[in-house]
Amino acid sequence: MTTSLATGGEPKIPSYQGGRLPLSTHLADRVRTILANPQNWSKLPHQVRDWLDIQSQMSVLPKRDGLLVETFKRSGKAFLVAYCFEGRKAHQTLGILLTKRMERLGLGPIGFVGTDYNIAIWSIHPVTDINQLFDEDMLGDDLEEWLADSSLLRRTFREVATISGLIERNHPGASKTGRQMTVSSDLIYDTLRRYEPNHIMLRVTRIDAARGLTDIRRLANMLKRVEGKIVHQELSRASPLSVPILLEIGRETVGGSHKDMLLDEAETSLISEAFATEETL
Amino acid sequence: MLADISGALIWPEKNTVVVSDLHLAKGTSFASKGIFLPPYDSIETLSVLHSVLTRYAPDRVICLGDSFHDNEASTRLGPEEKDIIRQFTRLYDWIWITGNHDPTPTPTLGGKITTQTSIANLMFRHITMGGGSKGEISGHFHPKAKIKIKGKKMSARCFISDGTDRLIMPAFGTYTGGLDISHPTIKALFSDNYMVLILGQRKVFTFPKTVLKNYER
Repeated sequence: MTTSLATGGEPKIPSYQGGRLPLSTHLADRVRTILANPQNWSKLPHQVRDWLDIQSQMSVLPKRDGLLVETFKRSGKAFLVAYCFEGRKAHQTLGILLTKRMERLGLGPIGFVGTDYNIAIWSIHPVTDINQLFDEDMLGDDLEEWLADSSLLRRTFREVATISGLIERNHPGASKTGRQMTVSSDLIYDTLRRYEPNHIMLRVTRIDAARGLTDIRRLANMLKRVEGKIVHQELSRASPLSVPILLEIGRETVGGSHKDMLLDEAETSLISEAFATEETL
Repeated sequence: MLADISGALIWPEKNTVVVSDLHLAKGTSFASKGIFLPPYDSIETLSVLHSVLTRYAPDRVICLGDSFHDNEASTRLGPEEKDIIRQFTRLYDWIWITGNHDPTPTPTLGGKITTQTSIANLMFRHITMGGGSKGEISGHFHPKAKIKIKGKKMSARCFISDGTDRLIMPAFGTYTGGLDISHPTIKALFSDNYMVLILGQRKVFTFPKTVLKNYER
């Protein structure tokens, strides 16, 4: 292996896809039980014990009952990590619901990623009222409408469009054919959504995308179970338990106002910068 | 002058609205190659244009070329789309500037067809002449700003202008891609001091080049 110093500002971190193990409700329960009680740790490898030990010093361990939510700032963004242990599908759905609610609260959610154990959401502004965010009434929100703008559906549509022969997959280095489409699948998606929302390709896209999401019941049970038992930890940096999800691949980007917010911030920082220079002159 | 979030340029003193690169009938142009795209791009582009024209109620409208995706585009437009265009050209003093995609647009839709036009001290044409041209407004390049703020990548249509000599407009059409403004072709057209007006979702953002380079990716 050769390594060299990088010149860029933000380091690139390689991610590993082998950490995905399906988690049933019962297994999740046992994992929570083991984590919550240090007396159970003796059977764990010492690296894992150390990891959990540092977690309990820097933050707290997820309880058997209830829900641990950590928030911290990282590379200029506000992160929220919730340890729900409800499995990947439920977390995907939860990610969509939570980001939708954050959008409405004006927090500028940018994206989220779900694993079998937890979910991470990053946004422009930090969440302050965790209980309000996780309120069970979020399940009444219009999932479909929010989903329509998500990267999940756009990506699924690209696959559908490729299979239907509407667009061709471009392989790097391959020579261009006359059939190659120069219109991105995103533009087609947006146009179809507006003029033929019931088009067969959109129907297929919705069915395909829904396969990655869970029925609402499991989420409802969790939200009911943790009500009033949410432990919110405001941290100065990422906790040991949150590290794996920060390296996780398969991030979803949400549509919405965060792009305008970021541009706004860049524009405003420019104005304050300009003022600062004027004052020193 | 005012950069509208739709990608149109508004010139209130002369009651003029300028749009560029509508690429009407682009969707249907692929049918001959066996690719059948949803053909709603033309009506979408026209309805966005309609809302801009209703909002600003200009006397004159200038289309800066590549208004039609090719010379035969008008034969592929549906009756409804043609009606909208005819209504436009009846209602407003309409100028079609020719572009590389539509060197000879059809005269049957109304409006005046010309290679370039000058109003007051400004020159409107499809492709910039570069070099010593002054007060020139053009399109053609479909400029887009590809930037990264706080690790978040984004790409949005934009205007570029040095304030006096040259302004390049974004594409107005629905199925239009874009050329990154950091591309050498676009960079070569501007000196060091230019402004980039990025079209956000609800607002147009203004960045001087010196600031924008911190966010380039």
